[in-house]
Amino acid sequence: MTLVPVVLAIASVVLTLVCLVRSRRMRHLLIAEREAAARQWSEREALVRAQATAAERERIHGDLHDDLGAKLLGMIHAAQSPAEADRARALLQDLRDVVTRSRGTPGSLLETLAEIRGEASQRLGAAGIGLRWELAGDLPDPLLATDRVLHLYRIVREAISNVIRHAQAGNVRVRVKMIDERLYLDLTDDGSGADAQSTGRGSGLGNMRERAAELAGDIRWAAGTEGGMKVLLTMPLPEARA
Amino acid sequence: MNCTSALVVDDLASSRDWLARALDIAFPGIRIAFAASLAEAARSEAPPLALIDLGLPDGSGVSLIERLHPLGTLCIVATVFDDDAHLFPALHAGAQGYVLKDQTPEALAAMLSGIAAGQPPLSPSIARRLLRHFQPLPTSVAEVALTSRETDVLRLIAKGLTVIEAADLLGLSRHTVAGYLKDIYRKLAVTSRAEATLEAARLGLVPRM
Repeated sequence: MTLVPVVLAIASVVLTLVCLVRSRRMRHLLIAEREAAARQWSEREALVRAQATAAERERIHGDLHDDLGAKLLGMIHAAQSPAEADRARALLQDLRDVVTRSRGTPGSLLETLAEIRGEASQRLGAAGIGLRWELAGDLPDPLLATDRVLHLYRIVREAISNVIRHAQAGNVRVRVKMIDERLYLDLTDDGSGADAQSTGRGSGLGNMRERAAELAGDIRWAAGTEGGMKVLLTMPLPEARA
Repeated sequence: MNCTSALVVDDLASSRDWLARALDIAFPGIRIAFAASLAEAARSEAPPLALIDLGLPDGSGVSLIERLHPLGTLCIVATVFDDDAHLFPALHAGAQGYVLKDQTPEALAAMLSGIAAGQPPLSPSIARRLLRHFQPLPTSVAEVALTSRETDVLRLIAKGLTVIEAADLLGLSRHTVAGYLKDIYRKLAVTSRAEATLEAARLGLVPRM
């Protein structure tokens, strides 16, 4: 009858093992639960933060919209000359970038050019300058990242500002074409062909160069084929087709 | 349309003057009433024409459009921001056009006469939004679908073409294309009413037909 203590011993070993495994499992469960709780907590925190950020953005948006928009509009309404009105109008366009476009999604090339055309024709029209808009028929329509879209808006906006302020032009022609995976955008006026380095144009040109560099592109100024100035922007368009 | 009187609803005094100048150029001798808030606008009769700012001190101009449009007022939004997010609810409520308040009074007047003559403006971003809105869905209300011609026009304008360029490309007259745009606006306002009716039916507010 020496079997009984052996069985008992084996049973107690087995029981100990089972207990060990179970307590280990319990510990694992506990850890998992704590981790889940922590994850849930941090997710909730993130949600609360995101909501607070969204609310803050809404508030800033509302303030910009109401206050800054109204002030710029007041400046346009009180302006003594078309050039003066255009300064405020260009700022209003910057504001529109922030208030309307940064909330949006990236745009395709043709959508971006469509927005640029609308803005350019409004501003030039208000200054009594005509716009000829010539897109090559074979332009691709890739999606552009939001920051690239913004750089394009700002480069053309600055070029239009320079025409309205300095060129005494009657017409502007914008051409866009594609050669070897590169986009060529040129903007030519038929004005006085004022020297690009003349007063007041320096910082604007610097900004345009910086933005062109951000686009991995190149921007240059030359005497225009129609008597005035020509701005030529080239940039790679490696993005996939939309 | 014969615009003999108009209501201008805007909380900025300089905007009200500016819009009044444009109205007087577009419709010489027009009588103009002014309101600086929804509450003030509520006191006046439904006019033939109303220029309505959306961000009013006591609420959105969209609610005023919802009230005036069924009464036969030609509602035009006067705004600083003409992107689809700002304008779509107003167009949905029945606004038949919009103007940008930073335009010169002469340019505004040309836009206003155009809208009154049935040539509503349409920017690329709003054309895109309209295309998305009218995308055929299994649940959509069949009688307010766009025709293929109307869809063609929207696609071209979404790509940045002007009405005249779109007309040339489609071999249509400018007036025909303008007529399509007007129909699209009308259908948008109809879908909003149809959607509201469907929604009400779902909620058990009105009996299903």
